[in-house]
Amino acid sequence: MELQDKLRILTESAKFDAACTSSGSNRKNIKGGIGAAASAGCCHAFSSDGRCISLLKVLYTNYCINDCKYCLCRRSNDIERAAFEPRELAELFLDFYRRNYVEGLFLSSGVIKSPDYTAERLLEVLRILREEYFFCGYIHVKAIPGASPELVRALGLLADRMSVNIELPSENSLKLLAPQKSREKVTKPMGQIRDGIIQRKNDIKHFRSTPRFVPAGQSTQMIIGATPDTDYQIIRLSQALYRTYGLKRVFYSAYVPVGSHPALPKDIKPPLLREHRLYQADWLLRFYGFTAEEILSEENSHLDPLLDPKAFWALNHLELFPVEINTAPYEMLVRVPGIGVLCAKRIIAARRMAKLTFDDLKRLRVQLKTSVYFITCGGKYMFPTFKMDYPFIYGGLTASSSMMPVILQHQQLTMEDDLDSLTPAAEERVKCLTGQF
Amino acid sequence: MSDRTILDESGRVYVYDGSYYGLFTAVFDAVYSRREPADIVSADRLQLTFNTRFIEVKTDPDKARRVLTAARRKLGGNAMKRIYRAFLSSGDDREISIYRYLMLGFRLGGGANGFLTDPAVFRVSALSQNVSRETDKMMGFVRFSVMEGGAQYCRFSPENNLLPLLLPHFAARLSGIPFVMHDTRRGLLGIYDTKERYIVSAEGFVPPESARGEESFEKMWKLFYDTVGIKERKNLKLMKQLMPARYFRHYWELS
Repeated sequence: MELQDKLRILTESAKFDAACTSSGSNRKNIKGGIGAAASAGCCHAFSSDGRCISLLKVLYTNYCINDCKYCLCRRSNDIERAAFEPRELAELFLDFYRRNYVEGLFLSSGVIKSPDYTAERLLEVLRILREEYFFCGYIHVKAIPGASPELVRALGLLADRMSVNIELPSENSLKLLAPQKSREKVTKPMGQIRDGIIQRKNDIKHFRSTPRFVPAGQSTQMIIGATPDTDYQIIRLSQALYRTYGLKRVFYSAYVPVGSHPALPKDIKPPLLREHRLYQADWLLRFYGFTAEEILSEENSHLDPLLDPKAFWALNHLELFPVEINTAPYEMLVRVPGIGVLCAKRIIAARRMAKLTFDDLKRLRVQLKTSVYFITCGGKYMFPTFKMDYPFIYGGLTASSSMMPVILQHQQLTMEDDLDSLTPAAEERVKCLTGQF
Repeated sequence: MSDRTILDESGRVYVYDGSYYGLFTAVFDAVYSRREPADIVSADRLQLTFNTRFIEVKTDPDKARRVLTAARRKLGGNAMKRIYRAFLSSGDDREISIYRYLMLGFRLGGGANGFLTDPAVFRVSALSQNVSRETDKMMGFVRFSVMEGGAQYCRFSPENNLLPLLLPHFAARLSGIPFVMHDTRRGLLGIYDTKERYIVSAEGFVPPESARGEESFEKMWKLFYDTVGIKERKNLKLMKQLMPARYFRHYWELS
């Protein structure tokens, strides 16, 4: 088989993995070697779906002994199959790398023969890159569930990031759609990688040089929309993963129909909006000090399609607002819709030198369109007549147009006193969530 | 304009040679003339106007270093990085903003760095941010091709003068491979010969021939690029927004 065909087939099979980041690791070039990794990460192109291409994302092989119903490479699926040779993959990758097409390698694989055999093949690719070509750039490799701990450790010593995909948000879904996998099979290597990272952190205090172990941390991925799990379940799970396994990232991948199992939804569009909202909620967990229970609850178990999760939270906690820009602590500033981490830091630096006004906020590039409902400068709202009022703010936040029409809309609303026209009908919500938007 | 600006009847415009030391010599001269300059421009951007006095700056590394050292002590290393990046930007007011930022810094010390409500401080940090963003983009978007003999060549046309920032980046990762980066907008070549880095004028430079078989790698990359996109999630608007066409004139992904 031509190398071109292998590249096409094995890219085709790898493209549903969302993880294409190259951040979190700093590697310096060593003499005679090639490459380096910068912790900020780097995008080299954006594919036709608008996703960043940072890594050469391929499977080692798409032959697989498993029969996971949601997966393109399941055993029972009739597709073209191929496998790389470790050396030809390593050399192809380096040819791409030196031309600056990619920032690093993302290597995953279907399971051939046994998990151990597969992990050994991946290890051979990494060994050629790191020990023969002295490649010092970024490598992301999958820990194959079921592979022996020695092989997982050996991979971790050569890679920058490792990941084990949790794939489906609940044990039930996993049983139904991925009969050969179980939650335990996934969490075992995850725990091992976590312990390895912690151990290296301790060792480095005692020994002058300890080998790096997965310096960019580990990540995982969940498929969204293939099973009836709720957003609340999903972000609770993410929170647990961040807390107990110290994951760097949880990726969410909107389900693209590739299977025909009766338990799988058919003919749906990928629920992209739902995926987007989950990423927003994920950011709130990692950088904004929110807990999953603050964002959603058992009764209110899906993220609002029209409002981002932070705005939704703020609307339901109007008693905490307005926030005074000149005195509020950082923790409260980042909870204001429209103010992010960078913005909050900028505000704190600037208010040390001068009292801030709304004009100053514009200059600091604070997004006033959203935040204007929740903040005061020097004790005053931007519009003196403004009153904290749920339907008015809801209308303002969900309207895509500028401020003016919203105020007009508000007047009409108060006249008719008609709230329903602004809240989306239940039917519409379901459509958003299932992706038939 | 800062409210401290005092113009005499004829505004003083300092003209320097376009180098970093040149700019700091101009700052030195302006400070010791005890008159607020109306503008500082490089010689190639000079426009004759009424009612201005042009003062030619003779670049003097000693003077420049004195200002640089004092500024670093007052403002700190991060601020100097920001000032250097703003200097590499294409904003016409970059020099005078840097001058005003420095003056504020000499008065207030490190506190000036957070004084984002001051127009000059804000402008310098905005310009620097613009340069940083474009640098990050170009670190990913630049495409090399391998020439006969193994050296690599790329051309690109950034909005800001990025060669001084991109050369060290690529020299660090392609340490054993000599390469030439061609900034076609400014007519500059960044050269790395595996030991030293240079930036020289591209006048009379003829781009070399690609090595045989180079096309096959471009084809392979295009194949990967086309395959990795998910058809069901197609979003060309987003793709075009993230990959501005002006950066991809020289390349083939989007063709």
